[in-house]
Amino acid sequence: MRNVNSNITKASFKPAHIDPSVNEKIGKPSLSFGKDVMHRLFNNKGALVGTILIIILVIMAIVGPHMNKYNIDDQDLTRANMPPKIGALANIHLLPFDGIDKNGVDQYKSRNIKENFWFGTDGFGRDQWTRVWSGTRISLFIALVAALIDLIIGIAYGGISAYYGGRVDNIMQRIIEVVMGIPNLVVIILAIIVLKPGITSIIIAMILTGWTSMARIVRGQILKLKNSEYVLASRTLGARSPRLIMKHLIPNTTGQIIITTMFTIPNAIFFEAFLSFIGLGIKAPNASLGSLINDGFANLQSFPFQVLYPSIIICILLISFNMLGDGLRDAFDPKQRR
Amino acid sequence: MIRYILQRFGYMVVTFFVIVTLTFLSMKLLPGTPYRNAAKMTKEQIANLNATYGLDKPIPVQYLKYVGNMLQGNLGESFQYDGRPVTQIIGEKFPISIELGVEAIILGVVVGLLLGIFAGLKRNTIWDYSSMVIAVLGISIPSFIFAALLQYWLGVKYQIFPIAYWETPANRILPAISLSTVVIATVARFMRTEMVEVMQSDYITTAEAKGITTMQIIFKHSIRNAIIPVITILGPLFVNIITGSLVIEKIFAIPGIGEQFVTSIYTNDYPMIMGTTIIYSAMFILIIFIVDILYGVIDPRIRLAGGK
Repeated sequence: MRNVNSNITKASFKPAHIDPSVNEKIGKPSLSFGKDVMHRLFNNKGALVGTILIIILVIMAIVGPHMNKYNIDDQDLTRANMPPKIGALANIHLLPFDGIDKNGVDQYKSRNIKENFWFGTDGFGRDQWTRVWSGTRISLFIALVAALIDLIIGIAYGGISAYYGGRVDNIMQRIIEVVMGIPNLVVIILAIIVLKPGITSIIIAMILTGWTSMARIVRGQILKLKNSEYVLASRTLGARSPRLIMKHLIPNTTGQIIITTMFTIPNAIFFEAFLSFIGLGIKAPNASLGSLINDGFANLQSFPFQVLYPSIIICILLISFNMLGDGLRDAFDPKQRR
Repeated sequence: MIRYILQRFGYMVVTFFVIVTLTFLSMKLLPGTPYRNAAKMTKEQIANLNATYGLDKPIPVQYLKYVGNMLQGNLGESFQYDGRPVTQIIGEKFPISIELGVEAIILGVVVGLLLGIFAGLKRNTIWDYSSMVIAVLGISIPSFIFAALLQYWLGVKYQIFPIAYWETPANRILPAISLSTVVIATVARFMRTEMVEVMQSDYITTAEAKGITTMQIIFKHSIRNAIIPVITILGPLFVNIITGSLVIEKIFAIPGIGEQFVTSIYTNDYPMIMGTTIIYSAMFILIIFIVDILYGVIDPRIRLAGGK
């Protein structure tokens, strides 16, 4: 038996009123691709934290060296190897900012020094705070310039190779395969030995091998886009190669380019620190994070704070860039999430 | 397949000669003299030494001679060690570096795989998140900073492990751990993604439907399938280990090839720098070659595209 209420008649039903304009209404404002990416990016906690930390470190790299009266090269042996002391935090002995060295001696009292050195001083009595932040500045500068030049060469090389195709592409790709086969460590070290250590030679050395990955990615993207219909349409309307490349192909590969750059930067920071650490990097009186770690490493057992602060800064920098890079990759292309 | 292997082999040889040429030319551009007491020597003495080492001949002649000798396994004599053959020094130090590298790779791959499998299975739990935090830290923190920290805390402060040198098995622990961090992190991330992907595939559902236990599914189906792509990242990881060994050997005073390379740079020991560069590059190229062949064996698509 079916349990049907027989009171329902056909008259109880009315056709619903359909307003065709409501059907087509867009509920929320439409998102452009860029807005969508930003939305996904800042919903990612790691990327957000990374961005904020990078901004803070960049600001500190700019203003940090000017926050106290010491210069990067103010040597004074009477105040060598002072432990860190920050006035406001000096009474909290849990924090390492009380000016007491690892043997429990208050170096500021025993040496009768009135000033405070926030990150301590190095073996020549140079203020570590100033040196650490100028080091951050140099490390960031090298990384940014190297990444930027990689980007330009990579886009030009990859773009030309993919766009013209055929024999040009073939030859250019064979060259890349050979360059990529050379261990970048070897090239970088040889280049620096020949060019004499310094900021410029580090940048040049890193570019020598660094551009290949960008070139490959740009080529891959452009090969994919080159046969798409909007490019054909533009070509039919009479657009010439430079316009097609600049207006259509490159803007559509931006996502991939940004992601690759975001991973080039931490890589460059790492390589600079690595080179400075084996003594091929920045020479005194200039400092980079790597050379500070290298200098401090000699006194690791007696004055660990000289290694600690530059190490912390470089780790935060690398972690932030990696998190931002991961976030950007997920934001630009949620499908290839790793 | 043979065509693919031959093609890869061709690249290997070309790349190798480009490296040898580059190394040779950069050595010729180097400032400074290779002789330790050059300042005290007279011009005739220097000219004599140049003649002994063949440095007075035109550069192309020197190059051909170097390549000829190299193909016979003779990389010249070290300036720094008073004429000991470079191959002999490398032969002494290389096994130490290889041992350290292999230990680090094994440690890294095993721990990385475990972390990755675990994170992939317990997806979106605290275990997953903590493994991935470890992975980001491992990728980001430079190995030499990690090594310095380990050395300070476990070596100097708590004296659990020896600080440096290469004598007892205990000496190997800290360097191997410091070198393996990047490997652990990279393998763990990669393995996690693969596991997540595999666990969602149809054949896992089929296996579940057949009533196989979870353990059997994990060991017989998911891990076996997820592990294949991990082979593809082994090449870059070996390269990473080689780079890392330079600084790690310096920090822990290990008498390996990396430490020797850094010393040779300081002492302008041309033949030693060239020899080490060539050995490093040869190893690098060989690893890339092997990994390329492995790709081809595993994934027929690459083989076909390459052999076109």
